Amino acid sequence: MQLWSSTGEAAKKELLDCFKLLEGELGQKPYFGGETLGFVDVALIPFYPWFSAFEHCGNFLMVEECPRLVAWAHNFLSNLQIQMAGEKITLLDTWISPFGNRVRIALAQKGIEYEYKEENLGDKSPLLLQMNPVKKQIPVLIHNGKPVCESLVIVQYIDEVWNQESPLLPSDPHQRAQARFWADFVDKKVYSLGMQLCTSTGEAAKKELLESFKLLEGELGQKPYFGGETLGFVDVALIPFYAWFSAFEHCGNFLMAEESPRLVAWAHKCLEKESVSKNLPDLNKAFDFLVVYLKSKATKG
Amino acid sequence: MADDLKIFRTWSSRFALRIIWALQLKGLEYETIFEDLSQKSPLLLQYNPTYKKVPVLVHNGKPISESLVILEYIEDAWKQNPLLPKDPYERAMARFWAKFIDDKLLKSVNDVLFTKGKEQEEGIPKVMENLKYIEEELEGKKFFGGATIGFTDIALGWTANLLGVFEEVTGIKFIDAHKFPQISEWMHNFCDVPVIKANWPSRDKLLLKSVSDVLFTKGKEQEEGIPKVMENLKYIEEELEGKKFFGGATIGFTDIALGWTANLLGVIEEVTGIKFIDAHKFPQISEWMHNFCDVPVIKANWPPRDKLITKYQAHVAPK
Repeated sequence: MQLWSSTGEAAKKELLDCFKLLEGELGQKPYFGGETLGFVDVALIPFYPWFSAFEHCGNFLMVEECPRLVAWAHNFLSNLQIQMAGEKITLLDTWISPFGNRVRIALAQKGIEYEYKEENLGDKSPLLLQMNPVKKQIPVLIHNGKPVCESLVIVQYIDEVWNQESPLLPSDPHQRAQARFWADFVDKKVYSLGMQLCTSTGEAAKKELLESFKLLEGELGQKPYFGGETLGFVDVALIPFYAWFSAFEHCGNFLMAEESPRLVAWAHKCLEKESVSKNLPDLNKAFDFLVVYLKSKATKG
Repeated sequence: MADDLKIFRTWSSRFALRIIWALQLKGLEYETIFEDLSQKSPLLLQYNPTYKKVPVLVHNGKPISESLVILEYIEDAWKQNPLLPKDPYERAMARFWAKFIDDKLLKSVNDVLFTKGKEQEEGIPKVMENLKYIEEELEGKKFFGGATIGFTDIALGWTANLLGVFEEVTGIKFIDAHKFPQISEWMHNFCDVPVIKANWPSRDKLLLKSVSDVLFTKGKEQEEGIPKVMENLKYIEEELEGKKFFGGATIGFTDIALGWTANLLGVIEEVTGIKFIDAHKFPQISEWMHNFCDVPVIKANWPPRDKLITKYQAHVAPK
């Protein structure tokens, strides 16, 4: 401010010295806070729009005097937190849908704020019918007015748009293909076989479902997550079905802890993350609901 | 490092065709391995233990299966001629429609194709409804991908060739140019793309050609033509698995196209001395020929056998 409101070189020199001190504090870190935004970043960045005024008054160029600080500011501005200020995101979903859960977990992993709208599938909102006229299903992600449908398509979309935070798909093409393959496997097998198990008699669906879980355990191997060291695409695709395990057990008369202990251990590990635990339905509530819901589907035939 | 690319396919698989198109659009060289699904190779079972199906793409020894997963892989691994748009929203749209085509459209078409009577009738409105969504999505576009074909066009591509065949087989008109002008136009444009044109399977044409090659040659050349006939007959054999006729319970387009074999192959066998249809090697074809010849319209119209033998003996090069 002194630079602004007076003449003389003293304020300019001191300001530039301060910027250099700050550059020293920043060092080689992407942010003052380290790998993520911190207190100092938030304190300093609002002055970025003032840089050009300082340059004008002091007759210097920030990019010459403090290139490191300029680079930091540009990096900051590409950060999602700033992007988020102008974004409007709405999710149409139901509390029990495992497909909707996937999207909520992905959004939470990325730290994205959004408006949640609970849909009544027996009385679909005009917004849902307008945003997903082809399938009329949830989940639907509405990003700045534009709808994205199909849970795994939405999760990939989120991963691509907010690509600097917690990537869900790996960068290696072959590993990406593996992730897509197994997420697709979850879609093809777990939901439909689970439904068959619970709505019909006969051992075939149970056998195939348990085999599918074993295949998934094989793919997991000794890794903490399907995504390796961090939660990935397949983890997000599968973990919502954890809330359905007890219903499967009830219908199929088996125990997941006996049949697929590795998968149960994996699920518990996922639940240690807030992004997961906060976005799965309450397990007891889910069980009570599913037992009734699946029975009603069975009698309808 | 040169890429080692192999694709496991059957000649008729519409899912494998997607991969062929993508590989060729990217200008990639690859080796093709045709599978006999009644006798799957150990390699196929090793590369796709989960589903044991084609297509499988093997890149430098690493396998990928499920056609849409393979398409995404090809797109990730080779950046030239992108099949997906750059914009994340447009990519999401392309993926949505590809999924719709597989989960909804394909399923509804199969439901009509493999049923009959009331069940078939009831399946038709579902196909029409799904086609309507595609029709609307195509409004104002040459291809889903814009000026050139992309991910969604490749996913939908099988309709441009197979829907017409299914129409002949079922007698149901799916793509009426008045009802679906966009789709009709799209099919026309799609089939014009060189990579597409070059890769349609053509069963009866292939068979006719290979039999002619054997019939009108002699000696070593003739001998060398025989495996090709056998290979082509094998494709037909595999396609007939579980069917009385190609058309289902009654003969249809493909049966008619193939029909000449039911009569002429026997004649050609007599004239050349080469046995093509051994009932042990080709049980399906043998049975099909038997059933085909029993159809009254067919029975009534064969040219007389002895005249045929005389005719072909004159055509065949002297031994």
